[in-house]
Amino acid sequence: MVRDRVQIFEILVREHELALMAFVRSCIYDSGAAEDLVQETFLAAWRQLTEYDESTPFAHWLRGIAKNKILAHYRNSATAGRHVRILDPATIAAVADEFERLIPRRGDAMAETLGALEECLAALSAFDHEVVRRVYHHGQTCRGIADQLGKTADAIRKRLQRARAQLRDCIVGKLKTELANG
Amino acid sequence: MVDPPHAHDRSTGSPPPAFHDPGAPETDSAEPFDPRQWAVHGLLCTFFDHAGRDRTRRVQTIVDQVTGDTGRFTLSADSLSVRGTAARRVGRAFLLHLRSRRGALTGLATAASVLIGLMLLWSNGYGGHALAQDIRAFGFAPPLLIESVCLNPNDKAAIRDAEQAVTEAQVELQIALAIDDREEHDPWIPWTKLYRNLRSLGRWDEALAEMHQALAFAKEINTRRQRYTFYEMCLTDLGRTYQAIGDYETALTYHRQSLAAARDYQEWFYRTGRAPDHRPQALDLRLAVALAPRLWLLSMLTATQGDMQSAWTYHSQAGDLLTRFFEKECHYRSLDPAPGTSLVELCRLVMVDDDTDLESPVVKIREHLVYQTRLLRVARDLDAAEQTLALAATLPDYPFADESRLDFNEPMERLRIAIARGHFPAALLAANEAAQNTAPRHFEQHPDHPPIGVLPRAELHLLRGVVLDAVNPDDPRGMNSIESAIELVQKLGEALPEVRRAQFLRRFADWEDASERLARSKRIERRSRKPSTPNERNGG
Repeated sequence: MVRDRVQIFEILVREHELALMAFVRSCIYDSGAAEDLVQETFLAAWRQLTEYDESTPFAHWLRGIAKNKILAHYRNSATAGRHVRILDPATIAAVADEFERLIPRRGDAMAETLGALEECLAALSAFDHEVVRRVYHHGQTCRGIADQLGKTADAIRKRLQRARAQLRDCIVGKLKTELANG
Repeated sequence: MVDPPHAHDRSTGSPPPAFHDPGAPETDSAEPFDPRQWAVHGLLCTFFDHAGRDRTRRVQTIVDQVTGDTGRFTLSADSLSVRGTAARRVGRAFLLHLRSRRGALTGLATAASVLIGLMLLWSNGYGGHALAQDIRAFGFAPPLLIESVCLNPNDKAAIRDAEQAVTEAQVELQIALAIDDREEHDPWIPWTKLYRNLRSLGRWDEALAEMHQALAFAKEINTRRQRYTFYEMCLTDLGRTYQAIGDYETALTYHRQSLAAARDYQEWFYRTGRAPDHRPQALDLRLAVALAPRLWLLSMLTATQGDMQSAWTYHSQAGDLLTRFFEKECHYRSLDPAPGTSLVELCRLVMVDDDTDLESPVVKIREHLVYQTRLLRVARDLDAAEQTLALAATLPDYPFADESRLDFNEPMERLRIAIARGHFPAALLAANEAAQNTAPRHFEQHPDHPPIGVLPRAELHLLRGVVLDAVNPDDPRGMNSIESAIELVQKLGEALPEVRRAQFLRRFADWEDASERLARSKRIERRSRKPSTPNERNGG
């Protein structure tokens, strides 16, 4: 029944929308374009739902569709005259693999990952936390932050890079512990 | 806009060209490609941009798009003139709606309702009236058909016992299948023990696999009596299990097969003279007692799917079976009821004290009336529902014959009706009565009647929380109760594979939505109550 299909799909959207958004935002920098792409991915998933193999995680299947959408997005941007670098499928696949580690559970596991991220953010040094907050919360550029804090832009980028690495290790560690504890 | 971790061309090892997307800021070209950096970047963007925003609206936007999709057109963000992401999303949903199938007038009406909805949501959230309507909608909700098949995941001792029982049953089943002596080693007993315990543990797929194997085995049995007993029980268990995980279509199929098998077996059993009771009404009694519960299940399943016509048909069939038996019983006792005498009146005519033969069918009439109450409530005829429930209460309730736990289900019905009417104090009384009757009913002959299952209890928690919150929004017990119900359901769903979990949770989506709406309205209410000027803060 169509109504049942819609209801099931609504639950799947509810469960996977945020995780898919995170994956797309990893590769697409324009938040508006990323949101459009997430919507288009779900639309494509809806149309192909009968092809979905239940033995594979739904999130995995969804990221597969999104990968193609991301590639198409870059191709279209390039043909539209925008000077963008076209990401290769292997690069996007590597990011998708990383998401398998960051969101290890099936279903609505994004809340756990974001919860771990919140805790890990609190564990950063005050300076690194401030850099992350300014970049991701206030949308400042590294150069802008460097000017305000009296540092070089490269130094800020390096701090940002280290902070991300630290966050990643911290999240993976926390999720492993949670999985082990059931 | 955010600095992305930069891409690096891995095939050549050379640094990638600078990123020139006009929307993207500068990047560190010396940063090597590292998928871990990219992934955390995406998480951070989502965490700061999206996690705090209204998830329900985002989900709804996507679902609107899906339901509006007819495949006749393709989307293009550029085709919309509305600027801004939120506006664009609302506009897109509206445009899709307008373009798809409902015509301009319907589209305009939808746009108006979207605007009104947004105004309500963004200006002052849910007003008291809207919230009360939401709460009342709970009372009109179709039955959830939640079966008492799951153990409470927090009850460690029960879980341990069930796991132990699974291990034992596996060994017993192997022995039973290996030994060709059906009298001493009947595989049915360990098989039901195995799959019912698996089901209690929420190991649905394993339980279903065992049930299907048992069903295939039952079809091969030569003895007709044994075959029907096995076969029909298997079908019932399959139906109940699919029902428990929310696959109503499949459940309906198995319940129909189970009904046919049960009827077939009872008729064969009595017509071949095997039954111990040879009175003329004996077969009618067996048919009424055996088939009525299955017909109610079918009635509830179809009602849940919105097919009220079929729901009433199944319900009437159960009533006909009971009526036929009580009419024959009247004639057997030389009573002569007028044609068209109601079922309850027939029951009163034949009912005499200490007649234990009639306890089971009398309780079936009471159950029948409670099911009828549910149907009437779902059909929004609350007056008739209340009258029917009152009529049911005039009949005796014999605990040992009461597998459907009327002592719990009747106050639950009163609770739902009171919620639908917006009579919250009455609802609270009914909720308290239901809560008192969740323990096993101890009766001499049947001391081991099970307690009320974990999901019906969860529903009671939810409804009680809704009522507590409506009566006193400052009482934290309301939201706590709602949240604990939802957490329990989510925990139960965790063991299911994704699509089955979606089916399972689909039935509880309303619970979650209502919880979110209540939480949101409370936040808004608190905000609006907070003094905004120093003078107000000082009580001036």
